[in-house]
Amino acid sequence: MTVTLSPQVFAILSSLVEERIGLSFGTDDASLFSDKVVARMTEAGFASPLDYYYALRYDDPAGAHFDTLVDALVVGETYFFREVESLVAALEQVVKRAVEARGAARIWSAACSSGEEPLTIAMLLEDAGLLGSVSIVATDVSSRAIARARKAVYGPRSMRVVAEGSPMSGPLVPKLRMLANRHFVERADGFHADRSLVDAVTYRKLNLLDPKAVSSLGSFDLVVCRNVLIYFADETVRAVVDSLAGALEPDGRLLAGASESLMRFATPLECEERGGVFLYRKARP
Amino acid sequence: MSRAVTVSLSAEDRARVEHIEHLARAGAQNVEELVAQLDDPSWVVRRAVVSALATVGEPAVQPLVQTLVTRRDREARVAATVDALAASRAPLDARMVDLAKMADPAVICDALQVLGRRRYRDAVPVVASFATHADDNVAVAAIEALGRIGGVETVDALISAVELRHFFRTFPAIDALGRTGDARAVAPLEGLLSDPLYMAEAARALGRTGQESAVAPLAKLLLDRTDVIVRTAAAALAELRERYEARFGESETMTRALAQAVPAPDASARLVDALAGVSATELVAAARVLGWLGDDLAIGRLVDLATMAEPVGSAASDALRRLGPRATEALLAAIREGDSARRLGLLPIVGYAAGSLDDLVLCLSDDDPGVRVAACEALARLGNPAAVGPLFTLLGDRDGRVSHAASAAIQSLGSLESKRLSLEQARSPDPRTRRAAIRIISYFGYPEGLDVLVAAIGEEDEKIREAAIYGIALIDDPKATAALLAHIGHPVARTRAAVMRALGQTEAAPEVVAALRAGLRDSDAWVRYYACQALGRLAVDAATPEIIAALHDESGQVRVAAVESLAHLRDLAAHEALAKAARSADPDMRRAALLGLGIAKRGEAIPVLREAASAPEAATRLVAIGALAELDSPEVVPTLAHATGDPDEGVRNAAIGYLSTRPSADATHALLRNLSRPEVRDRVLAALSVAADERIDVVLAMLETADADTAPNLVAALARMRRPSSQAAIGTALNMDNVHARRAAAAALGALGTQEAKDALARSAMDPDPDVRRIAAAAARR
Repeated sequence: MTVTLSPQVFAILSSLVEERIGLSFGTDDASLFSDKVVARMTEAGFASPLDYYYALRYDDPAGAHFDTLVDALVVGETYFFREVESLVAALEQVVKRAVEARGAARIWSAACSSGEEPLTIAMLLEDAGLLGSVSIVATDVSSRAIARARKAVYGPRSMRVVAEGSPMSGPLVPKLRMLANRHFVERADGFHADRSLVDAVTYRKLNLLDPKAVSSLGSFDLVVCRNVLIYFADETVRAVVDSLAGALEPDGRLLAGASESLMRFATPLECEERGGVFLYRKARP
Repeated sequence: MSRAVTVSLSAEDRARVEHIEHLARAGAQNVEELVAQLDDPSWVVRRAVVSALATVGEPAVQPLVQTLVTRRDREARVAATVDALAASRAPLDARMVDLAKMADPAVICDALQVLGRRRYRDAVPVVASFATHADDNVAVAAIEALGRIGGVETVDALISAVELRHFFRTFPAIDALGRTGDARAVAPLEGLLSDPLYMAEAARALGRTGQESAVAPLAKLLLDRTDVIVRTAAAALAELRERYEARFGESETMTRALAQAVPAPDASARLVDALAGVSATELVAAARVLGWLGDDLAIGRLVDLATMAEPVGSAASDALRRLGPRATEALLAAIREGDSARRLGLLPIVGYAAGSLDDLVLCLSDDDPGVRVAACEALARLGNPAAVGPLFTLLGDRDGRVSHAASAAIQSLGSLESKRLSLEQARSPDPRTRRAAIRIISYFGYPEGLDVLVAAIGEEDEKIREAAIYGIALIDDPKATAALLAHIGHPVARTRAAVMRALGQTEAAPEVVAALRAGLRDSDAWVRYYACQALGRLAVDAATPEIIAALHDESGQVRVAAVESLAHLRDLAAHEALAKAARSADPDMRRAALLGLGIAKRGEAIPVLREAASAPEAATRLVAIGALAELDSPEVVPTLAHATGDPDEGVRNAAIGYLSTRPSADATHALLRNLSRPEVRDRVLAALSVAADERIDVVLAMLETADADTAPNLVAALARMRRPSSQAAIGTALNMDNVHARRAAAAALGALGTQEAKDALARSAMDPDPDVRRIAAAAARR
């Protein structure tokens, strides 16, 4: 028997997800959302989506059911060296300067999924001789993603940029291939990351909608939050950006995804161009 | 060197925006101050000023016009002034027409832009007169305004601009002309296809016309020697068909038109050849056209494309599904010979048309569990009960998803063999197989399975017990209820909860009711939850006081279940408690109560439901209109009609869906009023196409006076109903006095292509309107 979500139950469940972790699902996503909810519902032993909703709402004090649902819903598709030019520029323009000025710097990879982004940052820092001076914190709302990040074993799709036949070209590509060769070993179950690289990253489960959790991370010279805000409704983007802005050092910068402009939001940030990359900084009073 | 540019809101800007919002709230008295800030250096602040002036309305119009005429020294101010006028709530269109008659070409351009953006139809003759203005800027502004206003009244002026072949004027005119969707646009656009300068733009515009007569000229481009032209033609053809089908639904006419225009194998070969290294968007269009061509070469290429990533894969899959049996052989061959990855991509496409069982059964033993799942699903779609035997072998599959998919397929297929095999497998030593078999027995409620199910309640595995309990409840036998009652005190709370839920599927016998009432006092919240639900389902009015008491249970889910339960009780106290819960501050309690009011179908609930239809949370509004839709009252349609303009897409779509199920005149009118809104137009057309004779009468009545924009939509709704009475109605429209109705009806009958349609069009060969005669003649030629 196939269970489907009525528009009403879809609205109720999707608003619960949005309220708790900010992920916004529109009617175009209803089918995908329903499939994932129904699969988790069946696993949890419920026969009706409303029963499952009430379990999430009233009988999930530790959030175990909700975490499992979140693991299924979050978009984990990412890969090494994604939009790498902007990352290289941000490290050069922001992090290197902070290290030169203070001898140390902190980077936060917000919504790191299975770890490809923080490990990319770690590889680039190691190559620049800065890894020892920089601490990297990486967070994600999905505990499964964090577990995968800690395990640090990746499939070929994560390596698409440096794979043979990759359409990516440009002067950086040979260097990226060299970095990947240096830090990964291919085994039968996938590409294993160098443990020293993985250990350079502190992973934590964190909900970007939880300002207290965000403030508990401390402040950062660079916050990297890419390809995440597009999944949030406008109101949520504003709240999250406020929170991220609060996590910036006075001279810190936020790097968003290439397709995510914050310009249309009334945020406490200003945009600036540095070395060809757009970064956001706290607005001057 | 770094360059810093402020592009978003600083603290200072934020304060100024708040000040502007304050000024706007105060209204007319602050217009002067607002106008003075139209050239503020901050874009965000200017946006706020524009919005404020537009909201102020009439008092701001004259100062804005004055600014537009006399203060043109700053581009930012001029642009913001135009924006404010375009968005103004005031009825200023006639004043813009007067402004357009000024001598200053720059002001004329701005006035034309405002008229275009406001889509002021009455201005078309004036705007059209500027399309031939000596000043290129004015002419282009007029053409763009005509494009924005749209509609058939703009067609002649746009055709003139296209035929000028004047670089600056022709390009915007081509785009605007295509968007009119008017049949007269095809010939002048086709005329440009031989001109390399305009060819690509003209081809795209032909695609946007959605006219069948555009198929032939575009199809001929598929044979061109230049790859980019072939790809442009494919993209245009894909859009052409999409727009055509949005109006008339799927139609053989388009398939025939393409087949008559070019030999399919030649066009497919040329198109396939032109696809090397192209973008995903172009591949999507190519997949649609290959599906339309439908020859062997096209099918072969589609099979390859179907295994590509999104969006190409799904476009090719859709094309293959539409081809149905014609593509089955190629698909099955690719599945038979392909590796797991290829099978995974192709299996979701098969099973929609009769195909070979053997090839799909072969995939049940694929190494990849994803392939096995996809094969189970394909076999379910195929609907051949002979697949049941092989599917049973997967019940104990090591991958739970496969076992689940095999069970689901067996449940979908049924058959006597399913009974025999499930009873046999219910005794399997493998717990996974046993559990799946018990689920199947439960699903079908085989009376012969009762003993097996009763025995399964004693299983160690909690999930087997639950599956057995649910199945027992479906078997109509006194022994079944007795078996359930024997386990109301089971030591495991989940099992007790399952028993309560199952008892809700039986009848309200005294011992059942007593067990459920006792369940309301269980220490476990889920036992109380299901006991509450079950008492409601069985409509045990005597339990009303206990259920009302459960509204204050310590567990939220029990409180909500109590609300749901009240909806099924006939006691006045239950209804009052339900109505009170519908105004609860707790959104879950409120929504459960609203759902309940819909179930209870009591007219007194309408005010509460209408109030909830304006709740701040979209989910509550959605539940409220869903509950209202259950009721039969004249007050329902206005609320649903209002909800079609809801800010939430889900609410809008649901409201349109509910209106579609009501064939009454008021519901039909409510839908028709939304046809002019582009964001819901397709959905409204689909809703109107839900056939009902009463709806046909309303649509016909509206066609008597429909204008040139509305008539095609009304006829499209009739065409998409696809029933004899709706097609007869189109024939009636062909004889109306209203020329717009006749034109739309003629186009629709041409698309239908039936003998009756051809006969009707033949009778229109002497119609006084040249367009109707032209369509009739084209149909006769076909």
